[in-house]
Amino acid sequence: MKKRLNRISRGSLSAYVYIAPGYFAFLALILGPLAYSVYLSFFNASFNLEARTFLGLGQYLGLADDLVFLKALMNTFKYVLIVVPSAIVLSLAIALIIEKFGPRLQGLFRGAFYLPTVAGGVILSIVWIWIFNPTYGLFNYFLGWFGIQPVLWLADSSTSFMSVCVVMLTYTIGQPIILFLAGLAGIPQDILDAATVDGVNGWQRIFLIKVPCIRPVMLFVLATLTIQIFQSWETVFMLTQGGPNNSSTSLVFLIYQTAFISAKVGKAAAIGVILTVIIMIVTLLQIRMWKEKI
Amino acid sequence: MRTTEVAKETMRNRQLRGKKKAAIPVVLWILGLVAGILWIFPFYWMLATSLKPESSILTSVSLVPEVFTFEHYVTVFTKAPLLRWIANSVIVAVTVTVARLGVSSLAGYAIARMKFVGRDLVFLLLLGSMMIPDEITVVPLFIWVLKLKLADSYWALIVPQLAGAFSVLFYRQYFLTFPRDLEDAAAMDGCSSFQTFRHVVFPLAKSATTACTIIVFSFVWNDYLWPMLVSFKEEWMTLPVGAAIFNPVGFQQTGNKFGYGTAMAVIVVAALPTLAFFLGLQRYFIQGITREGLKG
Repeated sequence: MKKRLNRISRGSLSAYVYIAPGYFAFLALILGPLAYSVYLSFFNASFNLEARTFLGLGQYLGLADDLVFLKALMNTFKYVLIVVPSAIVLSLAIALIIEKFGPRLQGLFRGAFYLPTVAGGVILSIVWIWIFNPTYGLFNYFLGWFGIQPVLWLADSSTSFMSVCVVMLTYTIGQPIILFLAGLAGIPQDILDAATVDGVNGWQRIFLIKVPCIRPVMLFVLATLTIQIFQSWETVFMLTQGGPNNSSTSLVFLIYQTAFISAKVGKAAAIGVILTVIIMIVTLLQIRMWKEKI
Repeated sequence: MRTTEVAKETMRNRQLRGKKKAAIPVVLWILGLVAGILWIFPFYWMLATSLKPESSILTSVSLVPEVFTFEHYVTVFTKAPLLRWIANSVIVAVTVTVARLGVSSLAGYAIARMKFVGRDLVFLLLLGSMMIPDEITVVPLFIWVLKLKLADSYWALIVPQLAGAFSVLFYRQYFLTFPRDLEDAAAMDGCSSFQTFRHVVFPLAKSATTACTIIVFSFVWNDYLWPMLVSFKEEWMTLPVGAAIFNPVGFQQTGNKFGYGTAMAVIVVAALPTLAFFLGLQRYFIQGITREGLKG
């Protein structure tokens, strides 16, 4: 008995040694800053922290009247509600198409759709600024063929939001396509054969057999994409700087702007806290949905 | 009577399917091809633009450059410390990846295999922290970097990026399904717990390590917010941060005066390493992503 206890505590001790480096990094670099952010969110502070004044919940109440914050909040939800479903539908459609190709060709296409994801938001945004250029850009050039007048894609508050959505979409479908292809390839052949015998036609085959079979993958894609778009800011930063008139701003871009351009550190921290709470609620809801549906 | 009906039905289905098999692929082929071309076209366009003289970029739209020039590449390499940026990116991404994998494999192994007080709590904390957006930690970390006067250094670029729950959870998942016999055999041969890990378990976890390396590496390589904040001087920028200076829109804080040709040349150079890395290791990329999504 004593020997066993001894063995457990010795094993336990080495376990602590194993997790110690990761644990300290986690404390110092994630949990610590998170706590400090929550603390800062109650203050009116700039980077000169000595001069801070206590605001308490006033900070959060102030945000409730802050039109730019409300716009960013609305936009962030709009980005999620537009980009996430479009990305899922588009990547599922593409996966269903290239699934039929031979393995070589499928690999080629899968790679092509993943390229923008690899290149990253900064590089992609710069190309798209060029494509969206009102006078010399390709987009307006092609529209000119159809007699459409040049559009100020990024500089017009009625088109800037959608333009940012388009660029976001180009680099969010790479990963879902790969996952959907893997999911589709994993559907047992006898299910598909049984469906064929039962006379299931093309569309039914997709919506009644294939889609339900890959539901776990779809939920994973939904969850990761949602978090990704909630946090998106690079495209906003590169393409429009949130403008014009804050028409394309997002919460994370506003955090950046508030902290590093306006030097309102406390306010930026408060927006960060709100974003974290939103992401947590949405993720927990999705996990619950996940558990119920599987 | 009934059997003939069933037989007719099957015949009809077979004919339908036969027809569809012939007709659908052509349409699908074209749709897939168009979408694929649309998706890689921006890459072609940036390459083509970067090879045109600035004067023709702003006067005519031609898919293929009529006059080839390398002037923009010369500008880029002479006006910007591009090689330094590449070196910074490599140093930061390699250090962060190696350190994170080392730390995470140990922690992931302990959480998957060892019994210790507080294990479930550690696991829950890790899962919970996946929901914390990076952006909320950025402000405090930046304040600390300023306080410690670490801006413009590898310390600032590397250390704050060392923590990450994802890779720990990834390894934990992998080690949960790792065959226990091997560890028992190693213990029988007199290996200590750490020796077993170092010489038996870790080398055999190669597929998890490859997948995790690729995911973490490409994430750190493309990271923009943090390196941008802590690099005030050009020589401390990473590749994406440097490339963004050439953003042709010219924001108030960059005061950029470069043209589109130069901007495209910069991003061609900036994209090449990542694209080459991806095309070379595509198989492992796919494996990593699939493993993350289907099992993780």
